[in-house]
Order: sequence, then structure tokens, then C-alpha cells
Amino acid sequence: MFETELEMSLMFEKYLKANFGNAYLKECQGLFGVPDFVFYAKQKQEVSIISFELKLRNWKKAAKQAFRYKSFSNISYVVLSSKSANAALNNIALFEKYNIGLAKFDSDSYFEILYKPELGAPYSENLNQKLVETIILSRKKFKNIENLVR
Amino acid sequence: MKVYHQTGHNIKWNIDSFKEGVGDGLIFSPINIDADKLLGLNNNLKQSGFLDPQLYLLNQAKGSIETYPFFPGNLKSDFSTPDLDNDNIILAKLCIDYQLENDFNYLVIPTKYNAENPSNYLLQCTDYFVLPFCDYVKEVKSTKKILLSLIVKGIMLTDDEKRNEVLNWITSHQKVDGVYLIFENNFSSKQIKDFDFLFNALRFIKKLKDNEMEVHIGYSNTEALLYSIAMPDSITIGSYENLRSFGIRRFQELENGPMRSPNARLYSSKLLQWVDYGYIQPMKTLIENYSDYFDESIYNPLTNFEPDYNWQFKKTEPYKHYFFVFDKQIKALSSNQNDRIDYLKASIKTARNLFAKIESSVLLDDNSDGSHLQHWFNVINAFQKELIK
Amino acid sequence: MIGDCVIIKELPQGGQKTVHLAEHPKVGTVVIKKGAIKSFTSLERIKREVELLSELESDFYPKQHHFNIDVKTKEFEIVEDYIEGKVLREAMKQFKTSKEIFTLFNSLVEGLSIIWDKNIVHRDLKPENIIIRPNGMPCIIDLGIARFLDLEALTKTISPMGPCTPIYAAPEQLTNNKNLIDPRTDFFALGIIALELYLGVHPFDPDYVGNQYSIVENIMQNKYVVETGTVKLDEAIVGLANKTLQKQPYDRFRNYQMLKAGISKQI
Repeated sequence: MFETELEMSLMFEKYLKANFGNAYLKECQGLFGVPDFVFYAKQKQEVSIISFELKLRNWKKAAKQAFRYKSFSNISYVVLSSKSANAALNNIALFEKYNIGLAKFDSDSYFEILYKPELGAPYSENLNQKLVETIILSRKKFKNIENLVR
Repeated sequence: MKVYHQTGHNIKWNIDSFKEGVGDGLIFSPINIDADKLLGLNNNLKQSGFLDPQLYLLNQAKGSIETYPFFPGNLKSDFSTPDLDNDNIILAKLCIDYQLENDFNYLVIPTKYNAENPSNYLLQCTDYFVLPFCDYVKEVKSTKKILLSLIVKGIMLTDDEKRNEVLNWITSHQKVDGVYLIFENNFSSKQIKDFDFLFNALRFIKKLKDNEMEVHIGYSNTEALLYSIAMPDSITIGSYENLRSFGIRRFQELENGPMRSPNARLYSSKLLQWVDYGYIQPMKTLIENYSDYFDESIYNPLTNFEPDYNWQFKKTEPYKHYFFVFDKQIKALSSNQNDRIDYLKASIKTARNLFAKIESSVLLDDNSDGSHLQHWFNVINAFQKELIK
Repeated sequence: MIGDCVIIKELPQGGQKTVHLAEHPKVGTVVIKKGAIKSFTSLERIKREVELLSELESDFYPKQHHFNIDVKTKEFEIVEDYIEGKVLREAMKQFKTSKEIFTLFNSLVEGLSIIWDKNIVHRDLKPENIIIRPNGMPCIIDLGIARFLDLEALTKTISPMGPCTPIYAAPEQLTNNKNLIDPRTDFFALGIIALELYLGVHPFDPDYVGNQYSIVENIMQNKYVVETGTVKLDEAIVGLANKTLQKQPYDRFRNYQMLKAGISKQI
């Protein structure tokens, strides 16, 4: 069990690197809300953005934050510690309604997707562009992104 | 009910707005405008408003307050509360003289801020401010009305004994015509959702009105609509959040650090709420006729404005739009209390329906949604019951 | 002054003072009051107020010819005009109807306004302290005395009638909440007097309120009657009671102008 959100964040970062590559940014400022992780997948000139909001407990607050990230992301995920995931599961309808992904993650580095969202277009072209501009020159690698999308 | 501009940083925006016919006057802020500059302002900008003396922290030299003759630090460099024992009369004279020179609509008695609630606080205010000020006004034979400033702390509203003490104190001052009330806001949410606070604020205003005193509420935000059902004489509109919610931090000398740019928000009279600009795009994408949820004005904040770095110092659109829309909304309120109450209840119902529509596609956060409206509705119902008693 | 007076007789009065009727060669019939000052309020303040009162030139108050406070012995001396007339306690039957009561109160408030304007509170208004002159106009006496005795001392006073219970005191006087005492305290006493004139009984009297408490306890609990078995309520009187017999001063008329307006309306 995670003691702090920082602990969860560090473990998750390790997990991300190991499973999806190192094409990510941490705590981007200047967007709409501050996503814990922003993952990007580049295919030629097309950039897909996946944002993650990590929380130990408060699933609802996490969902509201994750929704914000849809302004500049194609996919947005709430990642909860396994202990709190049940509460969110009982309210899965909310995640379906707003097309927000839900996953649980625990200290064994066990990651499970509880709801896979559809790929969508970011609501704000402006914000998305802003983000894309900062990562367009990146040569970092990504893999297995398709597992995160319906 | 009048609408005053609670001025602060960028007073020019308020002046422009006032000149365009928005609002009934300006409340001036010594920490933001030089004493001489204020003196030099055109009379028609000052005659309908008044000064907020801002002696809350007595000797904190924040901003331009040192330029004022009545700033205690100008009497004695390390001026502190006990000095008021000797200097209260001279302070009153300087403060009243300055206000008279500007020909403001009201003369305002200052108040001192207290973080705690010492039992002799009110008596001190009487000796330090109320008596010498009223005596001097009588001496110079001014016929201007006198307003007593008061920072109303939460406990003065929710604790029966404290509330009685404060109400008895305010109403005991025979020479005082009204109050300049400032509700201290230490809430973490942008809208006030505390039933006890709001309900007792309404009762507080009502008691003062029952005593035939003028009630002017400063530093108010959208909850001014709620306060309106207690029939105060005025509320305020302010640009920055710290002008729409009173916190003593604004008057404290802080280390000069870069001010973090707040998220831009857009006021909607239909939603009775300020919505984060970040939600405009999703609304545009996901909701039919999204612009119907907002108001129109010459500032076209939906199309003309895009928040960027430090927008709040450069861009006036969201603020001027709010001044215009909110002033109009307040002016449309009936002067009949029952009609006002019915209208507000209906507006809340409408707003909640609109929020339901928005939230069928857009998940709003706690500071942009309509979660405050249920509390307002409960408060209105409770207050209505009181009125019937 | 006192030396020039010829004592006629001693007047029966309650309390910590002696009162004599006397004849002064130049001024005429006077009342001489002497007594001890039993108050925790500063002597300076008492002196100041009594000085203000001694300057009063009004038919509503007996003219003061002499007053002295001996700070050392803590004693007072007052010489004032003797006022012809009946004490309201004895003249109550003259003021039974709503109209008669409001007419009296209109004059009473006019007289009291003079001291309220100077921010002086009477503190001891009661039928015994109001003289009704032969022409029907009220004269307020014992204005200074109340300053010399704190409520505590007043209650310990024994008079020929028995201990002086403060049955015209406002709640803030009974709790000795000095900060709350202002003209609105006097309004409370006026409310009691008005109702008492109308009903013929003290409105807080437990026999009529219907409980086991004392008058003073009923005042503390704000329990009073506006009608009795024999006297039906009067709207105007009830209206006055509602704006004077409130526990909190802020629920009463705020100032004497508002009180006056409330009374004038009924005439």
C-alpha cells in the first residue's frame, strides 16, 4: 500500500518507463490543470497524447481533473491506488459518461485497466498545439500504447 | 440596491467601466492609489463613492498607503495599538479632513483587524475610532452620512452571544448612519457553501436594516445576489478575486514574489457562477448552442479573449464583462423583497437545470459547477421562514 | 445653600438617602436629598453626568439649585425644586386608555430626549420617579440618584415598602452588562410602565404570566402579558411593547427619534 502520493508517483513512473517507454512529461504547467504524467506517441507528424492523474483516494476529484486534461489529450486516465479503486468502480458510469479511463495501480506494480476509454480529439486545439510543439522534436521512444485505447 | 466598484490594482478598469455607466460609484483603496492622485481625480468620480480607510493592520505600509496623511506611521514611525490612546483624536481629524477634501458621498470610520476575538475589541474600536470620529464630524459641522467599517468574522455570525454583542454594539452608535460591512472569507472554495455563514449573514443584514441603518457590503462576489434578499443598500463588484473576497493577506507586507496567474474565469448571469475558461472549449465542442449559457456584451469574452501568461494584468475583458453583466443583473432585481426572493429562487432553479445540461457532457470541477446553488436555495428558504415569523 | 433652608419635614423615601422638604428664602420650596454613593462606576463619571444634569433648564426636570459630591466621604447632596403634583404611581388611573397613555408618553419622551441627546441614560424610570403636574405634564425626578447606586446596591436597599426590587430594569441591567446600557435601556422601562398603566398590573407579574417565577425572573426570561382577564389587548400598546420589551437592545427602537415616531403615530 502506498503511504504517499509521491511514493505512488515514483513507482508508477517506473512502471510507465518499463511498459510504455520514456516518451512522457511530468507535471506540465500552462495547460488546463496539471497532469501527473503526459504520455505521447508520435507517428510521423501525428502526436497522440495520453494524460494520467494519480490519486491515492478521492476518485471523484481525480475524475474531474482527468476531464480537464481532455482539453489537450486524446485520452485521459485516472489511476487510483488499488485500495480506493472499488469506490470508483461502483461509479463506473461516470467514467463511461465522460469517456475517462480508469485504472488501478498498487505497490506491487500491479496495473489493471478497469475502463478503457475511446480515443478522442482534444477539446482545445490551442492547448493541444502548445503541448505538441514542446514534444514534436523529442526522440523519446514509446511502445504498447494501443493497450491503453479501446 | 446600489453597486459600487471595489477598486484595487488596475483602478483604471473600474473607472472606465463607471464612465460607461456601469455601477453607482467607486470605493477607493489607499494601498492602490496615491493620496495626491486620488485628490486630483475628477469630482464626479468621487462624489458618488467613498474611501475605505484600510487601517486594518494599523501600521503596515502596504502599497501607497503611506502617502495618506492619516496613515499612523506618519504620526509616529513605530505606531502601534496603544498609541491610539493618545493619538486617536488627531488620527480622526486627519482622516476626516482627507475624506472631506475629496467630497466623498460618505465619511467612513475605519476599523482595526483582529485575528482573534478579544473581549475588549469592540470597546476599543469605540474609543479609538467611533467616538473621536463622530465628535470631529460634529465639530466641523459636516452633514455627510457616517458609515462604520466592520470586518465581520465568521464567529460573529455563527455564535449567538458574539453576534448579539456585535449587533448591539453597531446599533448603539447614535451618530452612525450605516455600516460598511466586510465579511471575512476564509473559505477554500471560491463560492461560499456554508449554510450557517450565509443564513446568519442574511439575518445580520436584516437586523441592521430593522434598525434603519444603511448597510453597504464590501468585497462581495456572486453571493451578493443572495445577500440582496436581506435588502442591503449596496454590494460591490471587483475585478480580482481578492477584491471579491476579503482576506487580510492582501494588506500584509509580503515578500515581493511573482504573482501566480489565476485561471481565467467567465461570469455567467444564467449560471450564477464564474466558469473556468478551460471549460469553454469542451462546452463549445460538446454542447449545442453553448453560447446560450453565457451573456453577451461588447467585450465578447467568448470570442475576443484567450487567456495567456499574466493575462490578469493585461486583459480586462473578463472583468469588464462581469462588471457590465452583474451590474445589469442587480439592477434588474425588484425593490420588493418577496418578488426578489421569488426571482432568485427561480433563477437558481433555471441555473441548476442549465448545469445539468452542461454536465451531461462536461464534467465541471467544484469551483465551476453549480454545487453552491443548493446551499443558496436552502438559505433562501430558511430566511423566508424567518421573515414570516 | 443648605444652610439657608428651613426644614419642613422628612419625606418617606426608600434607600440609602434622606430626603427633606424645606423652604429656602429666595428659591421657595425645595427638596434636599443626601446620601451615600455606592457605585463602582468612577466618581468622575458620576460627577460629570450630574454636572450636565444640573445645567438642565426644562419643565420636565426639577430645577437643581445645588449639588455636591464629597469624594472623600463618598456622599452626595442635592437641592432641587419641589414639584407640585402626584407621583404617577398614585395617578395611574388618569392614564388608562391607549390614547391617554400615548399622549403622556409623547411628553415623557420629549423630556427624556433632552438627556438622551447628551447620551445620559436615566436608568431608574418607574412610576415613583414621574410626577404628574396639575396640568397633566410629567416631571422626571430622581434623575441623579440612579447614578449613585449600582443595581446591586439598589436591590439591597430597604424601603418602608420592602426591599427595592428592580422591577423596571431591563435585562442588561439585571445582568449588570454595563456595556449594553444606553438609552434603549430606558425604552424597556417605558415599555413596562406603558403596559402597567394599560393593564393596571405589572406585565411581568407571575400571577398574570401564570408561572412560579418572580417579576425580575420573568423580565430575564422575557415573559410578560399584553392582556388580562379584565383588560383586552390594544394593538397600539402591543406594538409599543414589541419594540421596547425585547431582550436584545438591537431589537428595540434604535434611538429616541424612532421611539418618538412610533408614539406620535398613535396619537
